[in-house]
Amino acid sequence: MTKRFKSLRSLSILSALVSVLFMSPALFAQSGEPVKIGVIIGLTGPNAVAGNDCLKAMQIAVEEINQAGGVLGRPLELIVEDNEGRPKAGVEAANKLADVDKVPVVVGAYSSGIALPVGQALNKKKVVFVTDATTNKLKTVGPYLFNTAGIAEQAVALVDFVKADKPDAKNLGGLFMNNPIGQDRAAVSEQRAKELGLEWASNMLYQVGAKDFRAELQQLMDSKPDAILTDIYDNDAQIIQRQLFEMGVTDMSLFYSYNLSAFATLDPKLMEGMKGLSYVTAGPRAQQFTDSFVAQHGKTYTDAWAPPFYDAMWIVAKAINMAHSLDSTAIRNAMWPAAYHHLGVSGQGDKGFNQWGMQHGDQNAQLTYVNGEMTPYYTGGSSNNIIEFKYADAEGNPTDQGIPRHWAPTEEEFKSMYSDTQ
Amino acid sequence: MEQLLGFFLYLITVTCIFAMLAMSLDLQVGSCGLVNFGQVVFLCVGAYTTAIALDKGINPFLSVVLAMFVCTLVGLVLSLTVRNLSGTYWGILSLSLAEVVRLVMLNERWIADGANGLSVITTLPYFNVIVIGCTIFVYGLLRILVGSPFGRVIRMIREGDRLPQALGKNVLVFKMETMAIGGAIGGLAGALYAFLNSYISPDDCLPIETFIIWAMVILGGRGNVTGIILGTVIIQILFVGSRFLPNIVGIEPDTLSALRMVLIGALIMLVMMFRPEGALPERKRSYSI
Amino acid sequence: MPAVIALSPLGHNKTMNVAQVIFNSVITAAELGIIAIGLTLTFSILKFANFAHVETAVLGAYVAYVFNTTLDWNFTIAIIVAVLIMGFVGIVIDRGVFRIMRNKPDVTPMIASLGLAIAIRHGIQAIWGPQHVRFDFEIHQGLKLFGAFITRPQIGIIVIVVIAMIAFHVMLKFTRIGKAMRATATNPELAQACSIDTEKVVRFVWFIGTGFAALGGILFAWDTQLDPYLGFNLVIPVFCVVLIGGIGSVYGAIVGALIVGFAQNLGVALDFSFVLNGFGLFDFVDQVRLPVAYKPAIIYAAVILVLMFRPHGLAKREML
Repeated sequence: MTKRFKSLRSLSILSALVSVLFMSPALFAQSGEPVKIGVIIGLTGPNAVAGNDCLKAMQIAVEEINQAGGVLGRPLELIVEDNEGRPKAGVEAANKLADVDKVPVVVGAYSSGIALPVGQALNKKKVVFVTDATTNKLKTVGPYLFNTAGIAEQAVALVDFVKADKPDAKNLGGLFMNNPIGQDRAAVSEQRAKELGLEWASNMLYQVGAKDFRAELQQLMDSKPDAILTDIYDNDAQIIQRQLFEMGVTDMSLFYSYNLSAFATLDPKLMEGMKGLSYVTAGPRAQQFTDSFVAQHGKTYTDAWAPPFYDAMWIVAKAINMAHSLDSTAIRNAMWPAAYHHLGVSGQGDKGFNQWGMQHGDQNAQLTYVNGEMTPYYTGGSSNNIIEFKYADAEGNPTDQGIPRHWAPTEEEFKSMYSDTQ
Repeated sequence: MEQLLGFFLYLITVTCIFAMLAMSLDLQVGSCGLVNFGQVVFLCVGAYTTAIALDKGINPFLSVVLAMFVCTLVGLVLSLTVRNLSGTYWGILSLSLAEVVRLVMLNERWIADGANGLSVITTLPYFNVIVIGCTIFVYGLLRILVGSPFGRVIRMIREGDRLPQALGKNVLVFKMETMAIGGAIGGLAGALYAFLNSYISPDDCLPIETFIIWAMVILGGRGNVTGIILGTVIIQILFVGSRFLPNIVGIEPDTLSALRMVLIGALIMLVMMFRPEGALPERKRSYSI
Repeated sequence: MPAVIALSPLGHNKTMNVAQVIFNSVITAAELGIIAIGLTLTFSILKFANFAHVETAVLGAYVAYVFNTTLDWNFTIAIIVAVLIMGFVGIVIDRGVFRIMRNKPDVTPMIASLGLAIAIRHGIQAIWGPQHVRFDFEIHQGLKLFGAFITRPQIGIIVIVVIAMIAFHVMLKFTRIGKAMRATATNPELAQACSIDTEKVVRFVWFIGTGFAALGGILFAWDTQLDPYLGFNLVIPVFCVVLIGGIGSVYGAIVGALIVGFAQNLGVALDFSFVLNGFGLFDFVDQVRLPVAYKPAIIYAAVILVLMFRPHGLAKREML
C-alpha cells in the first residue's frame, strides 16, 4: 500500500511538474513587442495539404504587413495551432488561444466541420474569428465571425453553366466529397437542377482520402449522365482523373467542376475539355500574390481557398490599425470598414462584408482546360466569363445581404439578427 | 489570470468527460475483458441524442437522461453481439458497428444534417460543476462495483468463460450488465460533450477517438479505476501540453506540427515500453478463505 | 442469391460490367492481401494487433519513391531494394520497441504500436510534406480485355503479388524456417523445447511481414497515389481482411482479401432493382444501387456477416 502510494505520489508530482514546464512559456509571456494573432488550421490530418497552403498564404500577408510597418507600430506575429483535422483539437486550440494567449483575433479553419464549433467557442468568448469555410450555418453563429469567401448558398452557378453550355442535357450526375462542403454542393445542385427541369440521375458522395474510386466512377458512368457536376479536393482529383482515363473515359467535356483548379495535373491530356468554375483569384492584386507564392514556395497554391486567407489577414491588420486598439470588440467593429475599403486578391477583389459578416456576393470564373491551362470559357454568346452571385430580389435589386456594409451593425441590429441563436 | 483559470477549468472539464469514457471502457475491457474498439459509439449516440432532443425542445436535463437511456440500449445490443467471439474478433465487430452508426449519421441528412452536424444552443447551468460532479460519482460507483461481488465475477469472465459458467454464473447476463452500465456512463459523457463544444458532427465520431481513449486506459493501468483517471490526465497533458512547447526557431509551423504528433506517438510508445502495466497497475486482491 | 440472378444473362443487370468488377476486385484483393499477410503473421507469432504495420507499408512506398525519383533508379530495382530495406527496418522495430514487451499483456504492445503508427505517419509528413507524390511513370489508357480496362501497373501488381504468394507458400511448406514458423505459431513452448530458435523465427517473421507490407504499399501507391495518410484509409480494411480470414491464417487472409475486394466492388456495382421489382415481375423502380457514400460500410457488413457465422474467421484452425 505504501509503495503504491509513493509511486502514485511521485507520478502526480511528475505530471504536475511536466505540465508547469509545458505551460511556463505562456505564464511568463510578455505582452511586449509583437502583436499576436491566433491561427487554427489543419496542418496534419486529412486536409493537411490545403491547410499548409492556407498557412503559407497567411504568412505572405504577415510579411507584407510587417514590411509596411506592422500593426499599431508593432510587428505582427502568428501563434499557429494545428487542429489535426479533429473538431476536438480545434476547440481545444481555440480555448488556448483565447484564454492563455489572449489573442483578440483568430484566423483559420478551412474545414466547415471545424469552423463551426471553433467559431461558436470564439464567438462566445468575444474573439474575432475570420474563416473561409463554406457551410451556410456559419452565417448565424454570431457577430464575431467573419468569412472572406462565399458560403454554399451562393454557389448555384454551375448548374446554370451546364444548362447554358449543353441545352440538350437531361441527366446529370454528381460526384462530390462526403463532407460538409460536398454535401452542401450536392444538395444545392440537385435542387437547382430540379428547378431547371433536369434529372439528377446519380449522386456520388465519395470518401475523402480513399484512393480507389473505380467502383464509384463505374457506377457514375453506368448511369449514363449527359453531364457530371463535381467538386473535389486536388488530392482526390488527380486520382479520379487518372482512373477515369484508365477506364477509357476520354471525353472530359462531360465534367463540370465547382473547383476547376483542383484538376491541374502534370498531364494535360487528363483534363482537356473539362469545364467549370474556379473561385476567382482575380482581384487586381491577384497576380502579384500568386507570383509571391510561387517565388517563395516553388509552385502555386493547390486550392483556391488559400488566397481568401491572405485577404483575411490584411483585413484584420487594417481593422486593428483603424480601431487603434487590441480590444476585440473594437476590432470587430472596424472589420466592416476595413473590408469595405480593401482591394483583395480573391474573388474579384471586393471583399466587403454584409451585415452577417459574410461576403456580400460571390464571383466565380467560367473556365476550361486547353492544353493544361485554364482559359476563360464563354457561354450564350457572352463576352464575360465571370459569374456573379448576387443576393437580389425578383427584379434584380440587391437585398440587404447583397450590400457591403460601411460600418458595423448596431447592437440592436445584432440582437435582432442573432436572436434565435443566442 | 481569470482567463487562465478559465482555460484550466475548460481542460478539467474536457478531461473529466474523457475520463468517464475511459472508465466506461475500462469496465468493459479492463474488468470484463470485452475488447471494445467501438467505444466512440457511446460518445456519438449520446451527443447526437442530446442534440436532437434539444432541437426538438426537450429540457436539457431530460435530454441527458434520454441520451444515457439510449446508450444503455446500445450497450445491451452490443453485448448481444459478443456471443462466442473472442478478444480482437469482437473488437473489430464493435468497431464495424460504431463505424456504421457514424456513416448513417453522415449520410442520412434528415437525421442530423449529415456532415454539417448539429449545433447545441442551450447550455446546462453550472455545466462545469455538473461534469466534475458526474465524474466523481462515476469514479465512486466504479470503485464500488470493481470491489464488489459483481466485479469479482466479471474479472473471472475476463480470464475465460468456463470458470464462471462452472460456478453457475450466467455469463451472458453479466456481460449485458457490464455493457449496459458502460453504455450509460459513455452516454452521459457523450451528452455532456455535446454541451461542451455546443456542437456535434460525424467528425467527432471517428475511430481515432476510440484509440485515444484506449491509450488513456492502458497508459493509466487497466482494471484500476484511479489509474484510468491518471491515464486520461497523462494523455491530455501530452496533447494539450505539447501545444505549449517553445517555438523552435528555424522550423516551419507545418513541420513543427507534424513533429508534435511524432512526439506524442513516441511518448506513448515509451510509456508502454517502460511501464507496461500502466501508471497504476491493477490491485491484486486477496480474499481470506 | 440475388447476385446470381443479377449476373445471369437473363438478369436485369444490363449496365453492370462484370469483367471490370472482377478486375477491380482482384486488384483490391491483391493490394490488401499482401499487406494483410504480414499483419496476420505478427498476430500469430507475437500475439498482438500491430497498428503500425500499415504505416510500414506507407514508409516502404516512400523509400521506393526516393529511390525511383530522387535517385532516379529503375522502378523494379527501387522496389526490390526498398522491400529488402524495409524487411530490416521491421527487425529494427522489433528489437527497438517490441522486444521489451515479449511477456507483457497483449494490450501493451498494441498501444505501443498505436504510438509508433502516429510517430511514423507524422514523421513521414515531417520529412516529405503532406502533399501527394507519384512514382515516375507515364499514365496510359488501360488495355481492353473482355470489355473491361486493366492498366499496365495493375497487370504488374497481379503478377508480382502472385509470385510473392507462391514464393511465400513454397517457403512455408518446404523450407526449414517455414516449418519452424508453423511450429512456433502452433505451440511456442513446444517449438523451443524442440530447439527451434524462436527469436530467430520472430526476426524472420518481422522481416517477411514488413517486407510484404512495404511491397503492398508500393503497389498500392503505384496503382493510385502516395501521401502520408495512405495508412489511415488502409488500416481498417486490412484488419478486417485479417479477421475475416482468421487471425494467424495466411491463406485465410488471402481469402479474406478476395472477399473484401469483391464485396466492395460488387456491392457498389450491383443493380438491386431486379430484386425490388419482384425478380422481374414488376417494374417499380428503374435502377437501384447502393449509394456510394455507404461503400465503406460494405466491409463492415462483410465482417459482421462472417463473424456471426464463423467467430474465428474463415480459416479452419488458428494456424498458419
